[in-house]
Amino acid sequence: MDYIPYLVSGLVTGTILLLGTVGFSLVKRIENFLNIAHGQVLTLGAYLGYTFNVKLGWNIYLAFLAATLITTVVGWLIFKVFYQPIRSHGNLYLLFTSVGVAYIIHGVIEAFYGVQAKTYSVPVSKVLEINGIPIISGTEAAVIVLALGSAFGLHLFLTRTLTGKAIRAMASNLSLANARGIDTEKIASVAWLLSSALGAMAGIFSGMIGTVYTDMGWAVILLILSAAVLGGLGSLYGVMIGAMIIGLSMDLSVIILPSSYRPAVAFAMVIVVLLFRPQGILGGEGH
Amino acid sequence: MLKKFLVSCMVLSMLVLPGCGQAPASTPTGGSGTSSNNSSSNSGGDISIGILTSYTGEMGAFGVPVYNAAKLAFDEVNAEGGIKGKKIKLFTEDDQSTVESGIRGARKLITANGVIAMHGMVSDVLLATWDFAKQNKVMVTSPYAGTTKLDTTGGDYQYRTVPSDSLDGRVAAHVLWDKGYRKIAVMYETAESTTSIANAVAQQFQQLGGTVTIMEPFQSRQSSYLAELKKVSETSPDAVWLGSGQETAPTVLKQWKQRGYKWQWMVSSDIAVPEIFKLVGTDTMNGILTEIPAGDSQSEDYKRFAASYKAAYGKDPGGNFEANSYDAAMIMALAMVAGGKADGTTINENYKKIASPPGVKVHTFKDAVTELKKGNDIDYEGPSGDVNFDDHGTTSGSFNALIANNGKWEQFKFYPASAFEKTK
Repeated sequence: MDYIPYLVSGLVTGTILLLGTVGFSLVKRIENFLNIAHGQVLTLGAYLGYTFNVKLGWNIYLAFLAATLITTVVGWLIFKVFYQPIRSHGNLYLLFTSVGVAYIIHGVIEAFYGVQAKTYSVPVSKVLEINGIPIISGTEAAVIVLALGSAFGLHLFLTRTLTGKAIRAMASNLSLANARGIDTEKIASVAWLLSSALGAMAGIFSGMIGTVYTDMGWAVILLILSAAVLGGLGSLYGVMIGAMIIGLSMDLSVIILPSSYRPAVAFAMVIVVLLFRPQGILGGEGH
Repeated sequence: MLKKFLVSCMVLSMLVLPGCGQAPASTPTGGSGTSSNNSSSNSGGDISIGILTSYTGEMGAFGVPVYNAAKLAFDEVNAEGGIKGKKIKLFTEDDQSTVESGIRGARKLITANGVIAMHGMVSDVLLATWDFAKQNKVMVTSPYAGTTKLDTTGGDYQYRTVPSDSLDGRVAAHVLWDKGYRKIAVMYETAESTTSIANAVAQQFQQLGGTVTIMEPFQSRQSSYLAELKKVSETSPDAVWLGSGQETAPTVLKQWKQRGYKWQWMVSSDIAVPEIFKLVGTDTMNGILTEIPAGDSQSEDYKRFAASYKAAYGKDPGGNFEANSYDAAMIMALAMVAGGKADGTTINENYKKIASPPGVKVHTFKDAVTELKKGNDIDYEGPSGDVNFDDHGTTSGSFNALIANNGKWEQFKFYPASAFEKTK
């Protein structure tokens, strides 16, 4: 019973990380490069959420929708402007362009919003208590439900719709997908839209739980990379599991270790898993 | 394939990602052979002084006030004709509240801008750049680097116009004890300054006879601190001392409120900035305690300083070590006047002398210069207090105990420097 609050806190960390990592992996699968700027997309979502929620005074869920929508479009525009034109040069070009893009987004956000940390105005919600132990607050529950709901929605989209299936086909074998008549450019656009939307959601959720600050993108991309590697790069279900493992193990480790070891625990998990499964949990190039 | 990505991940995380790396930055001692030439090369024109401080990151709220306050002092000096006819010129770099950026900034200031002194560093950055500065005969001063590591090592090309964290911690422990708390927990970020105060708080509180239920270190900028809070709550403390910064503390405090925990908070002075009310919410902040190293806000020196600060920047000083920064800069200028030369060594040799007894007590640059011209020793006192230094470059300093009340920090008790000197 006493461990449940730790579990809840791990679930919150894990689900937010899950959304961020899935978006990251989607691009990795379709474009075959590590989009370092993905962390900044999270930051952008979080700051736009701040604009709507605090500056314009909107309800947090309305702000969430608006910010996600705008970030999605911006993410897609970034793809069109920066990545698409140089794609033919190979994925190393894309990788380093994404580093540049990350700095651009970071700089623009800092210039626009300033360097002071920000917080959302989320009404203090009622906390569910069991036997006097506070278990979960409304905001946390909402974050977990919305995040898992979105992940499930993505699963349905990928398995039940033609576009979703086309994404999976492209991810498995680009030239074969091309040969089968899939409009790969259109599908790539869809993947970027999805990736940005998921990233924005992750950013806004972490804003709802904690603070929004300009360097959050740099901090989160490391966790995303480790969750992605842990899950088996590119396997979408694998990285979901990877993200949850990292989230949960970080927060559960606090029970026995001082919490300053949290990040160390996350990376230790990666090393341990890779020792036994070098390809990641659900990894393998064929996936 | 996976290996390739692992390698690129590693390379990227080490080389590219700023602000999140825990990787030890290379020591700044190499490749700087020309810098001493640089620092003496400004003998003809202006006197270059660097402000290396935190405009971004956990200590981001301090940067501008610390710069402004130092600039105010130097502007006054320049208005009086400067030092031996030479004007003081400021250069500034952002240390982003991290050691890596701090080292980068120090290198630039010393080697490229040829500064003779640097001012404004937080503890971590000061410790990391001090050796490099010393090798180049550059003086470093700080208005808020409280680390206990300087207690026995400071005072050589390094001074601070703030008391040590050991005293800061002692005051915090006293405030909690005086308020009637007997069982406290200590939560702190694993940075140099917060760790050093946290240890001091715990040690002092136990010496007073109190119980420390848990010492809980944590990493900054996590999305959630629910696990840490839960762990602290299991030890059921009456009060919790929190050592953190302006990006992390809001998350901790908001989640504490959400969870409905009831203990009394006391927060470190890094959190006690006016901006915190916007970040955390006035409601949640109400009743939270803090103490800050500060002069008596009722003193004549402080009132005069506050008025000219407001006139220059349109804002009241307060909560951001402005007075400490002003005094550090003023003493720097006076040390050059007293020594008759504008270089780091001269500042280092005269810094303590002109601000500590014996000597004629002076309060402004003009009066100080007049007394020095007469051949008198001087003892500068300013808005942050009597600024007398011990053998290791630390001021004794007074403290204000504050309580958050409807969006403002209100003083509820003033602890003069003398209150703690006798118990030492």
